[in-house]
Amino acid sequence: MNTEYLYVQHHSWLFSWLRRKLDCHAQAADIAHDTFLKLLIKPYSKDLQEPRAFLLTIARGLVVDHWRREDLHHAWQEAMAGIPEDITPSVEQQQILLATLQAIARLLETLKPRVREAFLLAQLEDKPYADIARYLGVSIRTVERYIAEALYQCYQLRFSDE
Amino acid sequence: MSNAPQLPAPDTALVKQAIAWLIQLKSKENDQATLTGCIAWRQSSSEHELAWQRVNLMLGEMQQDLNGIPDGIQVSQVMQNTMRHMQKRRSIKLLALAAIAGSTALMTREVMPWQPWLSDYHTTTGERRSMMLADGSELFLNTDSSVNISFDEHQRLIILNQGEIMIKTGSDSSSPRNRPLRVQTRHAMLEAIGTQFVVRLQQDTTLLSMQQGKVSMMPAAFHAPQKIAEAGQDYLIYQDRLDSVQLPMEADSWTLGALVVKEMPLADFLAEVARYRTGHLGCDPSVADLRLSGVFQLDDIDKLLALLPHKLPVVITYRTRWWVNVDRRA
Repeated sequence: MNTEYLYVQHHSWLFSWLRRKLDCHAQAADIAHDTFLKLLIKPYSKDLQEPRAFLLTIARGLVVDHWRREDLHHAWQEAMAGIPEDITPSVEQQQILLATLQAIARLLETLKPRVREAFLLAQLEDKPYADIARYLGVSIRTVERYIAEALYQCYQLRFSDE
Repeated sequence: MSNAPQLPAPDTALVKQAIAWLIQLKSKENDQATLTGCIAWRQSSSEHELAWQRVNLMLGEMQQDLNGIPDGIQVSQVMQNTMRHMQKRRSIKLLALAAIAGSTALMTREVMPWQPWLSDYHTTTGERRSMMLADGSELFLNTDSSVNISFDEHQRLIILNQGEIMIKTGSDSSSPRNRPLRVQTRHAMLEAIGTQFVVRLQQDTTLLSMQQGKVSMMPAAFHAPQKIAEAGQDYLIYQDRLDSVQLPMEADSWTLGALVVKEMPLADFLAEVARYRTGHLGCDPSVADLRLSGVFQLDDIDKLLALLPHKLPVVITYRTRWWVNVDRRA
């Protein structure tokens, strides 16, 4: 079962499914396209038993990426609205920052909410552990455990390609 | 790694140990024993050192990537907002996607359980926000504050865990009966009687400042006196007593993004301002008692501080961005 065959057989329903999910023709077309692109890049078993389920898994991941990018962009714009113009970074700088934040957001989603909150306060706001402990209503030991867990995830993400 | 490029990636256990050292160093700042211990651990083998280097490389890169973020942007807030939206989208939409895929086993990503965001609100340092509650009341959260909101058929309860809030009570018209609106702190229970008021949680006491209407104050201790606060009055509420006080500032002006003070000692003023920014903000004892009056915008604290030398014989010293001192002008 090659990618071309998969494309011919499945592009049409995948596209209409995405269009229903995203309410947008162009985005649905993009993500449908990216789904098959991933198949080309990523090796997969040639005797795919459930091609529909397989394609949906990939497409769903891309939809989540798309949402995350949108949500992050929105939250970022909201925050930037309160910043004086003379210290606003250039569009290019903002793109770079958003890409970094996107990677962090992907990581954060794998963390438990409290671990995530502790990590954000410690690493991005540089709050002392004692303050975080008080804020979360847990012991400093627990905060240290949370941060250790989050940093280990960061580490794995950073060196995952080795 | 420049010092040991030929070494294979360190094992998981060593990476975790390196992270543990890093955390201990941050947790116990300037602790000589921890520092010595960490150095000894690093020096005990080249694998240890490599693990240490890589963890620090990862952190350094993260810091560097985030360096371009302008001051005043609360990154953690941006991230939390993003997460919140994502979570909502996932719990609503992804379940539907799973059903179509026909195989829940393919749901590799965990769908997080719905968090009770609707009932917990918080702000980070420097942030302020306002919101409408289910009963039509308006709730304002000042910097670095946190509340739990729990409305049931008997009461509208707001628990102030940290920081400061202002409430403009609504009519609660959708409820069949008039539920009391209560604010609870670790020092007291406050019950609103048609009203607008500010509650600030401090170390040993809760500060209540009345703008309109009345609030009945019930300190936590069983035998403590109860009293009704009227418009224009300010009270310090301890667990076992109530003290009427006169504030040298307008308690609710932060809801408009300003600090309005009258004849306020400089030390107190700086303590107020310090709530809106991270880091140390202090002053020399020789200027602590200088009196200050005026309206100060809270949106840009550095700008606010820069105004002080125009009003008082002081200079602002930035030792680092996070360590600011106000000294007497020579």
